Amino acid sequence: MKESTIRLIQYFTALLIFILIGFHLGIFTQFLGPGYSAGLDYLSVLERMKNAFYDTIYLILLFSLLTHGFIGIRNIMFEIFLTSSIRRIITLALIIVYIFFLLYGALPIFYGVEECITCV
Amino acid sequence: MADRKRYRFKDNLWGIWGWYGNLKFNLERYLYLIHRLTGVGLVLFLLLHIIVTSSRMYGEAAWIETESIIQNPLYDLGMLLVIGALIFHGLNGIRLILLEYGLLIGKPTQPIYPYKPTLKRRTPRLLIILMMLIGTVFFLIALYEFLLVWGVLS
Repeated sequence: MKESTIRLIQYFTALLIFILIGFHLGIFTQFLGPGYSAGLDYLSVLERMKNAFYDTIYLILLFSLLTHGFIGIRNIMFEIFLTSSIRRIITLALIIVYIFFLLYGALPIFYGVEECITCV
Repeated sequence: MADRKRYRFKDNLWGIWGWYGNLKFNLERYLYLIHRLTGVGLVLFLLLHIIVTSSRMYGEAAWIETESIIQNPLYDLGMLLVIGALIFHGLNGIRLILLEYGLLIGKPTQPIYPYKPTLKRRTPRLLIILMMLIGTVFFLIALYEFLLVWGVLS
């Protein structure tokens, strides 16, 4: 992939994150959602996980954040390590970690939406 | 050519210390430095956040256990710091994109005597001030939320 394309992906994901993070944090405020403590309540979390809209938002946010973050880390690493062989190793290592966290982060969105035991 | 060969693998001798330079920065360079530091910090937080929130898939008991660990004033303070970093990184990033695409700073024209600057030289500095103002408002909203949690406000 061309470096200019990677830079464009960096900008596009940045704009996506800017909008979606506002939404994500907004849930934990009294103005837009139940507030910080109530938003962390298991029942509240389950309700959001059962909602396809929230699931979609979280998936896009997870993908955007990881993509943006790992491109940023790659840029910094490329500034420090200049040899092409080391750069290839860095890219490969970052892709492996990226895929691992993408899958690990997506798992709770699809899996484990069981009933709440202590909730009424 | 000789210099190029000599410094082939030593171009970036300072590494990340080069971000700090000789500490004679202008405002934009300080913003660059903070943007980098917050960026690295936020990636580390993101990975931690994914690990912590994934405890939800192991059931309610695991979630409550995780919640009991993270719900303390020290963690909240760290969270507030992360939110501050996030607000700064986001707003500064938007500023950088606007400047990179030459938006809001006018269009360059062919220089004809008597030369007059066509680019709006004050706009980049105004963007920084605007960024700080918007950032402060966002941060105060987050702070208000945490003051409610800590019981300082009711």
